[in-house]
Amino acid sequence: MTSGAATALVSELRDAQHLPLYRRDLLQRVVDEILEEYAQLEKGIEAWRSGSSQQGSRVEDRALQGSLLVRRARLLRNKRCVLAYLVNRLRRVEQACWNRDPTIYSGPSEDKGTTGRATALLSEAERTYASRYEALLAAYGSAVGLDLRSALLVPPKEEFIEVRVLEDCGDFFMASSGQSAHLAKGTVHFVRRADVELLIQQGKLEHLTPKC
Amino acid sequence: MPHRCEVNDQIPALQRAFCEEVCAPELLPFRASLVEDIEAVIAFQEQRVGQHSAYASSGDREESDTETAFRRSLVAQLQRMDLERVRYLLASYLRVRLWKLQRHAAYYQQEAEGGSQTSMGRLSMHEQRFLKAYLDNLATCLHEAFLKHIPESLRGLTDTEKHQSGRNTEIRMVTEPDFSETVMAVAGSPGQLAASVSAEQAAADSASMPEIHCVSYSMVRDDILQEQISLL
Repeated sequence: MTSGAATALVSELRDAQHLPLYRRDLLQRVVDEILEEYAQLEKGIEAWRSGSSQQGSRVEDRALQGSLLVRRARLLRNKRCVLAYLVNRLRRVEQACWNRDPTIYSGPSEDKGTTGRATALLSEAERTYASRYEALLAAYGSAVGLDLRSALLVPPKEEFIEVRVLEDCGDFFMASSGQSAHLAKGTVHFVRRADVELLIQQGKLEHLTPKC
Repeated sequence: MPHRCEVNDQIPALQRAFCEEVCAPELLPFRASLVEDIEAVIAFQEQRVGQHSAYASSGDREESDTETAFRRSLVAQLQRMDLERVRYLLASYLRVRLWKLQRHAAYYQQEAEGGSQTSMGRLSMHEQRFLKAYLDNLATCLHEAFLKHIPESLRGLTDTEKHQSGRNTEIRMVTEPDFSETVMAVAGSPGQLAASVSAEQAAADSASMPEIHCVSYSMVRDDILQEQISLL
């Protein structure tokens, strides 16, 4: 019982720049440790109570009390490590939702290329969390009349911009003009920024900034 | 004859509100009336842009109207640009508030449950709904992933670490905004800040710039919440 699994969970997340794989195995080990510690703690408390009532030696009592306190502190530490791990992961999931990161959104059946990664990247609970969080953002956006994720993240400087298509998007409907444009990979278009902002955020288009 | 440019004072007010929200470590009171006004401005501007665009794009007009159509098209383009900027500003204001709300969601919820008028007053109705749903979602996720597997007595967010000496340490996992963060406070009137900050600091700061002070947020928090002091 060295709390190594809990420490490994936290340090792995701390060292990772991007969201690392969900470590179900490590988390299960920590849960097992907590349950075992808890059982030991209950036994120890029982022993301490019965020992006190039988007027055992004061030194033994103090020793037992000390070991119980250490055990409890370790148990709480393990719990905090796991919560820190989960909450930190959820924050990164939220960030990915804001950025519309496709590796978070794509389910196992939809994304053949990254199936393994997408499946293991998030736990079942995290996937549910991500989808509910998205729905929550959408509900808030419709309540205030703005889709905050689609709204510009940098101050708009020009109405029309030049973009290069990085990923084939097919025929894309331009809401402002009511016309559609065929966005084939590698082509360059001069379009209204508001129409394609979402595609830029998704990484399907590249904004070509004019060279001064 | 040139038209008089109508200056809308709500836009600078929203800019100030956004800057203050970015600078303050905690959520400031929601500027409900200002946001309503801005929404009305956006709706009005959209209507104007629509009118100008419709006129500019209509084909059947006389030769003499061509110049007017061109002018209207130009005006529509400028107004659309302006509209995008106002939308950006409003979205940024709401977005930064949402981010702050999420960062310390449990803290604001506990404040609200504690009956703090300040806390509930500073959130809009939509933000209150968001906060509740957000925390529900978070609690469900943590429960499903971890908390349901451990004994019920360990599931709280506040633990007490006991020591052999009898002294207990409370470990709270609900993070609070950092009230000791240093902010740049701007007084609405001369001498207003001196009452909040220490005399020595006020004297030192007043030597260089009498109305702006670099202080800990906690020192000017009450004045900021009452909108008597603004942040830079």
